[in-house]
Amino acid sequence: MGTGDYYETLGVARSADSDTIQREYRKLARKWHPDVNKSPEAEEKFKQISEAYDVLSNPDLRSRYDTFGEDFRKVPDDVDPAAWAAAQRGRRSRPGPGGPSGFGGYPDPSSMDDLFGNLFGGGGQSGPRPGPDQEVEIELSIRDAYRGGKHKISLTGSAGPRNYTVNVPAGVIEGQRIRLAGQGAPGRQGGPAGDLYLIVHLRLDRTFKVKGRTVIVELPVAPWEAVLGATVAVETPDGDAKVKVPPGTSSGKVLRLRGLGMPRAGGTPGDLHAVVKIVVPSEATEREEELFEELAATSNFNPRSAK
Amino acid sequence: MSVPAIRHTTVLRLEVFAARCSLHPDLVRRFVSLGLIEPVEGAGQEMVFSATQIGRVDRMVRLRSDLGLNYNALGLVVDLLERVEQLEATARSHPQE
Repeated sequence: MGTGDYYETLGVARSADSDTIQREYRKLARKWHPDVNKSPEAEEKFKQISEAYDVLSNPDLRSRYDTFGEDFRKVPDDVDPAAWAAAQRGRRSRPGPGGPSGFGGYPDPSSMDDLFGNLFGGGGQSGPRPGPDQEVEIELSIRDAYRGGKHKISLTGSAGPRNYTVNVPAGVIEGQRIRLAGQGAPGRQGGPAGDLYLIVHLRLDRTFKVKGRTVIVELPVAPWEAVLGATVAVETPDGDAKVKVPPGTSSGKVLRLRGLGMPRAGGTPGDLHAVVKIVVPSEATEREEELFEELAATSNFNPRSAK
Repeated sequence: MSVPAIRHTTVLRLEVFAARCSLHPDLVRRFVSLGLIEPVEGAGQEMVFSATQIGRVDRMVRLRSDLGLNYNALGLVVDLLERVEQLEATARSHPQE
């Protein structure tokens, strides 16, 4: 498994002393430990950091790594790095990692799993250990959250990108967690994997706002509809519905449409709140102006002294 | 290996709880005396634990072996992580306007 350059992984110079290596390792390990960092890439990142530190913190392994490059584990133990480096210089200079890899035929003495088996089993507490849970945010439009259905998501994990088709239940709300059992970080020593939680985040919408399960939508109304009352169309996440505007409705009045908010699996759905907003024609026709002038002359309604 | 699903209201005897955590019962007892986990009731051999504590113990074992935390730090770290999770959950269910 190619995991990149160990020095780069720890963000240290090739000449870094052991104190620096340990300091940088500790900083990174705190940041990327899968129990502290719930993002799916944390697990792989932590593995790489631990692997790099495992090698660079051991003077013998480090010098073999410096000399033989990333395939250093395939080099037989009795090849002395210094002698080998001298011999290479004698022929042709080809230093650094990624260079020689002509030691095929030797079994890889410590695969990644062995390495981590030792690491995690340390401290006299071996035994199967479940992997930690992971969390990742998924962004859904309000309409998609309302309807539910299949959603494709792609995550970067330890074994490359993982693709899931997730069945999102109808009526998921902000902050809701969708559990994918056994899809979290892998367990250790044969322990079960943790769970993966998708945390729903509702994308901002130009038409709808959602509070809990209540869907809020603006309802534009003409002045005469507001005065006389009318039955008008209102947008819901599931298409248009009809709402009755009672006579004498002012802006800001909330018309409640029971059960037209976010659905709830096996329960009562939320309500839709249509907030009335009286809208006037930006350019009135001559006739409209006449009628409004007549109304202005006749009416003694004063909105600023309303009781 | 497969671990049967357990409901989170389940309570477990010390030996069973320890087995689920892949730890020796003595180590679980040590965790209790250090105040890292609390039994639901009982003492000594009669201790009974909530199954919800398995995840906490797993996390402590991972943090201890990976980051070399001592037992004092372990309790602090796990408490703080649980608090962060609670706060995040609260923040998510009351998003800002």
